[in-house]
Amino acid sequence: MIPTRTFTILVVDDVLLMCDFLFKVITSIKNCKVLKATDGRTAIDILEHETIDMLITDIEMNAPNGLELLKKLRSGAINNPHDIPVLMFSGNTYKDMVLECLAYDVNDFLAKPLSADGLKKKVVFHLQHEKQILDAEHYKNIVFVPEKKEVKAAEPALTAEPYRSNVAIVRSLSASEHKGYVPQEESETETELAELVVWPENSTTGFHQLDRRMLILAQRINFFHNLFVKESKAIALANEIKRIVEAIDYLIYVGKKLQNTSDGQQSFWVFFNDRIQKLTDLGGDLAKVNPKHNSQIQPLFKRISYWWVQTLNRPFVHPLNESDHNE
Amino acid sequence: MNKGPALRPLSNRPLLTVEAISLIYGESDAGLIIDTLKQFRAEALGYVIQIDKLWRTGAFDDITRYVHSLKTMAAMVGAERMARLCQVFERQLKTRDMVEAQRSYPVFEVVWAETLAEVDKCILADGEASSDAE
Repeated sequence: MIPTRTFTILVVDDVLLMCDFLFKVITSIKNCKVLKATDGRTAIDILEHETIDMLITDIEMNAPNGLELLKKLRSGAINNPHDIPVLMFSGNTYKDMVLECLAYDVNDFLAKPLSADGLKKKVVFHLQHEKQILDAEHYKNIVFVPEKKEVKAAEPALTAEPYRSNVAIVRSLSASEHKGYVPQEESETETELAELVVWPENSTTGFHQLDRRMLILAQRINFFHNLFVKESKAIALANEIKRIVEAIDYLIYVGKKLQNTSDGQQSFWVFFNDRIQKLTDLGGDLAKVNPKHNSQIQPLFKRISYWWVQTLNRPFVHPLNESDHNE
Repeated sequence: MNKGPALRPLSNRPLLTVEAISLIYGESDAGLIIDTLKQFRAEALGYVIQIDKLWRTGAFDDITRYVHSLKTMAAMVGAERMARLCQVFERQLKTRDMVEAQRSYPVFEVVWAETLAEVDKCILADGEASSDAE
């Protein structure tokens, strides 16, 4: 269906190419007039001086970013109706940021890369389906406390720290959660990870690079498993699948590199290659899974778990004190 | 053996798949593709120059933002290798894994040069085709 009156839509992105794409696509929707802004300040200016019916904005921009725009709008700090639909898009999504957006009743998240068709459908849908937005006063009173994070002088990437994904945990809020949003009360247990696979402490493959990659793979699998158990949305599962596949990709890459440079240890590499072959197949199947279908994911957990148990054997893994690292 | 796209190493990813533009825009007009490539070339070049300047000053927050934007642009025109590299580079910068980021930067420069050459080739080929038609 096509909107029946003329709607003015503001699109905001600091990447001109994306801004022009949004403009071109949304202009092609009948009865839609589009205004562009390439930064948050210009967006606020337009919102103050024009009556905007929908805001579509990137999250990650120079200040004010998309989230700040949403906050200002919903809390009535901008001279524009505070209850217009707001669609956010980004290439990365972070749990805290997504939770904050949900607290401010964002209407939808769009994952990059966007397609013209998908974008049009979303825009038309949100122009036709009104979402209940509370009084501006409610949004003024929201206090968001981000998850506790350890403060470190320099945080190395991909260490043995508990894995924190940069994927959003997107879940539907229940009515009661929605009304009485109190982020401070978020249960600690909700972020605890149940472990489907475990990289044993004090064990090694003999190559610290492989140990690290295996540990990361375990963390990603466990994180994905937890998302699945908590019935997270398909988009979150799909993102996490991508990350598992990337972890497999890295493991293979590191393994091949080590194999080319290390001498001997024939039996280790024969075993490794056999396990990697199976993991590659598993990764391929995982990449093909439709995250909306639980029945496709469930058997893969069994296969992953089985692969893990089969792999964590000699000669692949041995106690750390048995020998030093090869590299 | 079934390999998903993300299993391919960086060097196996195509430099430029212009079909991505058609898929994203839902149109296969040659003019649109070339205009998009020209816009990408101009905008991305500006970002790369900024990153080059900032790299020497150590303004990593700004670099991260520029790399993030470059990733978006590259994905929009099907510059897969560039997009993937930016994704990895952005993650390294965000986590301040400077050892890995220092390793990635020279690769970033090389991949950008290769991508740019490929984009120029496409634009040039279109120009030649247009003048032939005239």
